[in-house]
Amino acid sequence: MVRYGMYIDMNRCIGCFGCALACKQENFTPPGIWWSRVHVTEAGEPPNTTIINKPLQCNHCDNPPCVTVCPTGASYKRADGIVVVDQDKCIGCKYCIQACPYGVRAYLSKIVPYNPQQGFNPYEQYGYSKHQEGVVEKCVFCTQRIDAAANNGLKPGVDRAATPACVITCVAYARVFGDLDDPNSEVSKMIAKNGARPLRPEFGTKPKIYYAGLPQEM
Amino acid sequence: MTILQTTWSWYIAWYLFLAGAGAGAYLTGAIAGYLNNKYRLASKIGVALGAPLVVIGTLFLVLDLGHPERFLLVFSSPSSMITIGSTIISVFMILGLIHLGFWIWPFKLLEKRPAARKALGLLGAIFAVGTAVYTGILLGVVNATPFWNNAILPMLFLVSATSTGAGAVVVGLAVYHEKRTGEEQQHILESIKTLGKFDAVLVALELIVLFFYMAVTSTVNPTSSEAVQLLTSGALAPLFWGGLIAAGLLVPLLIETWGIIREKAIATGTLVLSAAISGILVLVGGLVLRYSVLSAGIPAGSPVYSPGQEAFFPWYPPQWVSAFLPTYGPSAIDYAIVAAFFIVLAAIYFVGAKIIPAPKLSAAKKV
Repeated sequence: MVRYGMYIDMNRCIGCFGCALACKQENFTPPGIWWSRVHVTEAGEPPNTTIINKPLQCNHCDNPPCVTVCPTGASYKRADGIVVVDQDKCIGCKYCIQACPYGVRAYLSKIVPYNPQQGFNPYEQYGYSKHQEGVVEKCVFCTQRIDAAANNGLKPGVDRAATPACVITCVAYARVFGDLDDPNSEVSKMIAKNGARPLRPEFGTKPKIYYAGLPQEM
Repeated sequence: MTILQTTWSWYIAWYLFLAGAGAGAYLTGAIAGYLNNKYRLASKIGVALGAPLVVIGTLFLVLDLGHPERFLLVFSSPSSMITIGSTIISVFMILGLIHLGFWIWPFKLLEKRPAARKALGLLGAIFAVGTAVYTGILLGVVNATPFWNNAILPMLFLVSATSTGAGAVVVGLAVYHEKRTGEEQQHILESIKTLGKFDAVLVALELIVLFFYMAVTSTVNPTSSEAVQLLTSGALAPLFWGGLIAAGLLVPLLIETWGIIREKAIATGTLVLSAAISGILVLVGGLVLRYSVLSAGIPAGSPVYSPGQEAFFPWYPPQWVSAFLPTYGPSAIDYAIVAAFFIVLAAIYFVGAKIIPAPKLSAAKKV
């Protein structure tokens, strides 16, 4: 069974925020909602500090606390390992936002246009119809692209049309997406080669995004 | 500057407080009903307040939802504390409303059936304890928030719930003290004195549990010690020290202890008034406790904004940022809510005790 995960190389990431904006463009996230973002912080003690650009999005954990605490079952893990939210079942209680140790879920209270004077442009009118107000949303590893790939015989992680937008757009080629259960996939090979590790494994969530080049304290 | 936790704010604070106070009032009423026939009015007040307070709290909970019309879906996932808790408080509300409806108003079937009443009280008391403890477990299982993630928080909320419930019953008794005469008034006075002692023990216990809660969470990990710092010396310090420790716990404890020690020397009117004041202060303290614990629940994950990013917000259109501006401390509105709650409670007592005339008593009514 496939188990989709991602590899991010912090030594290659230049902090351009391209992944954050590609995700916004692909998924039409309304103002205030970021499914993928870059947290700019510093590591080390003065005077030996470096700037760290840490791309952050849903880690699609194998043991997701957001699924455990969801009272309606709206938050669930698919067979291919991707954690999604069923917008029709979500009641907006925001318990999953409390439960996520990575702080990657967002509550959409009101959809407003990016340009209030001009209202919703046609791009926004098409895209925001996919979002419901009063529910919680997050990165879904672009399931719309992965599911369409199954119909067209494309392989997620290998073919560009079947891979998440953040992976495709990365100018530094810092991101790799694929099947973690396949030892021959590029993502498994990169994780093994560079000793990549996930964020905050002590929470027991078994996240599936592996970072290479993370400083010790992160 | 530490950003406060604002995803769950006033709606949830009111819900946790009212669910706890209602459960505590019902528990006080059930215990009073078991102990002595003299405490009958205390038992009635406890049952009368129990389920209705929890119902109002649940209303706040449903209002906090993004889709209130879908709230029945909360019963779908047994692994979630919200599902378990909603089941517990639903059962409690049903039992409490049955107890209220068949004993106090509109039916009086249970008036002559003390055994059935006591059995119902016992069953309801079990679910009342469940309601009070669940409000703490709801927060306690959240691994992502180290300040909440321990076993002391449910105990703290249980003690606080019982204390605020007892305080609510004391205020109700103090109102009725002005309206009864003779033997009945004497029994009410005794109920107030006994409840005052009960509440003094609970408030002292709450102070001890709160001390250990803060002491342990300040050492667990950097995020929880940041939360403790926020409460003891940061933006939440005025509410914590002034609203909770001083007004909500120490002053009621002092008043009640003074009432116990100098019981013989104090005039009845002063004793009843001091009991009412300490009951009101305990209630306000319970609300401030819930709001403080919620607001100090800093998550362990990365904050939404990188350090310094929020400096750009003044340049963005208000519609973009209004939904997600970070908060660093309570605003004037937050303080006003706490103050307004105190004023409303004081008004309920003074208006109820002094101005509303006593209801007519039927000749055959026995205590």
